[in-house]
Amino acid sequence: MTTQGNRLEGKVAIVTGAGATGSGDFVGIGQAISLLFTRQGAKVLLVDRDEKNAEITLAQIKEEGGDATVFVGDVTNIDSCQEMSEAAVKTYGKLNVLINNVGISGPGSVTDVEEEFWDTVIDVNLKSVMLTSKFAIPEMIKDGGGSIVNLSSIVGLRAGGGRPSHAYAASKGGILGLSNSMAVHYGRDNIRVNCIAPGHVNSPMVARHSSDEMMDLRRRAGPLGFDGTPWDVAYAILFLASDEARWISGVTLPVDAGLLAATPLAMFPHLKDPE
Amino acid sequence: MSTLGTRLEGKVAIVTGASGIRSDDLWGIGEAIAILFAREGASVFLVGRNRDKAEASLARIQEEGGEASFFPADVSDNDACQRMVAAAVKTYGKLDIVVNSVANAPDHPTSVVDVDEALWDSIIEVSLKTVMLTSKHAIPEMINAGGGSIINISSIQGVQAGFRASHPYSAAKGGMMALSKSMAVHYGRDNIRTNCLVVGQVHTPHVAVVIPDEARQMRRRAGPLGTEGDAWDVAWAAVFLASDEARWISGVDLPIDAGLLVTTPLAMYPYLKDPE
Repeated sequence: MTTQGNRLEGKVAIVTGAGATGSGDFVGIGQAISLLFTRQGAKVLLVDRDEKNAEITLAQIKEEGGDATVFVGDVTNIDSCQEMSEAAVKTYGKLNVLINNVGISGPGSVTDVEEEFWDTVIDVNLKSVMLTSKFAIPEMIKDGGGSIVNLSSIVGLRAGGGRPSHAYAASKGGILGLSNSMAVHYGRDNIRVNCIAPGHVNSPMVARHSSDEMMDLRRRAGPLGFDGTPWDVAYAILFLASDEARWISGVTLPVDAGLLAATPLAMFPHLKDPE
Repeated sequence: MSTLGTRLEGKVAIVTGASGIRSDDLWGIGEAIAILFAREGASVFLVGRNRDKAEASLARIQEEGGEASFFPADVSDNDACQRMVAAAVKTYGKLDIVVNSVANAPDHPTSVVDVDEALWDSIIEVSLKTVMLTSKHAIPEMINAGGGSIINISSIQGVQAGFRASHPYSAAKGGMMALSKSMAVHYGRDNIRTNCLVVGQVHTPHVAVVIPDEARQMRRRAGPLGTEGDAWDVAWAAVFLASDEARWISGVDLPIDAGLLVTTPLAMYPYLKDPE
C-alpha cells in the first residue's frame, strides 16, 4: 500500500476534508486520497476544520516520506476558501488539483426537514464547491490548467436506501449539474472537472452511523457483492487527477460495485436471504 | 519509457481489434491499449485478422521488454472466439482481461431509411455481436481465475447523435452499453467487472483516412477542452479499468471525450462558428 509512484509528480493539490475520520488502516475517503496523492508525488494541502484530525493524516504522510501541509479552514466560508488557495500557492508555488471531498448528511424528507438543516447541508456539500473553485480556478489557469474532482454520490442520481435525506440528495445532484457546467465553461482554460459517485462504500463515517445489518445489506445490494473501501474511491480520483485523464472532463464516474447498473429486482435474490 | 510498470503485473489480457490500420505515428485504440497493458506488466494476446498490421505493436512491446503474442482470428466467428480464448489460456495459463475493440462503421451517411439491410447486419455483427461471442468463451475462464475485467470500447454515438447519420453504428454502440450493464450485474458475484469506454472525437488512423483537415479541426473545437484526443487517452482509461485499482467499479460508461457529452449544441456554438 505504500508503493511510491510518479503519477502526480510535480503537482500541487488541495484535498478538503482531509482529516482522519477513522483509525489505523481503516481510513476515511479524504485521508485515503491524501495518502495516495502524496505516494504518487503530489504535494498536498490538507484542509479540515479539525486541526487534530488533519494532523493525524499529516503524520501518516510524513511517516511515508510524503509532502503535505495542514490548513485549518471552513469550506463554507468565503474568506477561508480564498486563504486556502493562497496558502497552497504560497507553500508550494502553484495549484493544479482540487478535490472537494467535504460532505455531511442527515435524515429528513422534504416534508419533515428543518429549513436550517437543509441550508447547512446545501452550504457544506454544494456551496463549498463553488467557494473553493472560485479561488482555485484562477490559480490553476495561471499554471496552464488543472483538474477538479468533486465527490458526489449515487444518491445524487437515484434514491438511496434507509431513511431519506433529501437535502443530501439535492446537494449531490447539484454537484453533478455544477460540475458539468464548469467542465464546459472552463474547458478552454484546460480546467477539467469530473465527479465521482461513490456507492455503498464502507467508510469510517458510514460504519459509525449504520447497524451491522444495514452494512451487510449495503454490501449485498451491489452486483460485485463485496465491500468497497475509501481506497477504491481514492484510486478513481487519482486517475482523474492525473495527466492520464487529460482528455476526460465532465464525467460522473460511479465507484459502486455495479449498483447503478442494477434494478431492484435484479438484486432482490441477493438481498432477501443472507449470503 | 522502457521500464515496465506494475499496475497489471501478473495479468493476462486479450485485446481484439489490435491490428488496425496505421499511419505515421498515429496509433489505433486497440494497439495503444495492447502497448500500455504490456508496459504495465500484463501478458497481452493481440487479436486481429491480419498479423502484418499487428507487427508494429508487437515490435514496440518487445522493444519495451513486454510480453505479447498475436492470434489471428475473426471475432465475429464463434469457433474462432473459442479457439482464441483457449489459445490465450494455453499460452499464458489463464485469462483476466478482455478488451473488445473491434468495430466497423459505414463510410457514408446511413439512416434507417437508406441503410441497406446487409450493411446493417454486418455492423451489428462486428460492433455488437462480437462482444457476446468473446464474452461467451472468456467469462468461464475468468471465473476459473477468480474473476476478471471486460472493457468494451463504445462511442459517444451510442449516447448522442453525431454529425452525420450512422444509425447502425449508433444502435450497435448503444446496445453494447446496455449489454455491458446486464453482464456487470449478472456476473457480478463471479467477480467479473464489465465497463464501457465511451470514446469521443479522438483522432485515430481510421478517422485520419476519412476526415479532411477542416472536419478534424471542427471535431477538436466541438469539445470543451478544445484539444485533440488520441488513442493513448483511451488506453490510459483502459489501464485503470483493467487494473485492481478499479476492483469496485463495474457497469459504468466512462466517457473520454474532452467534455463533449455534457455540452448542449448552443454551449459550443461560439467555438464552432469561427475558426480559433
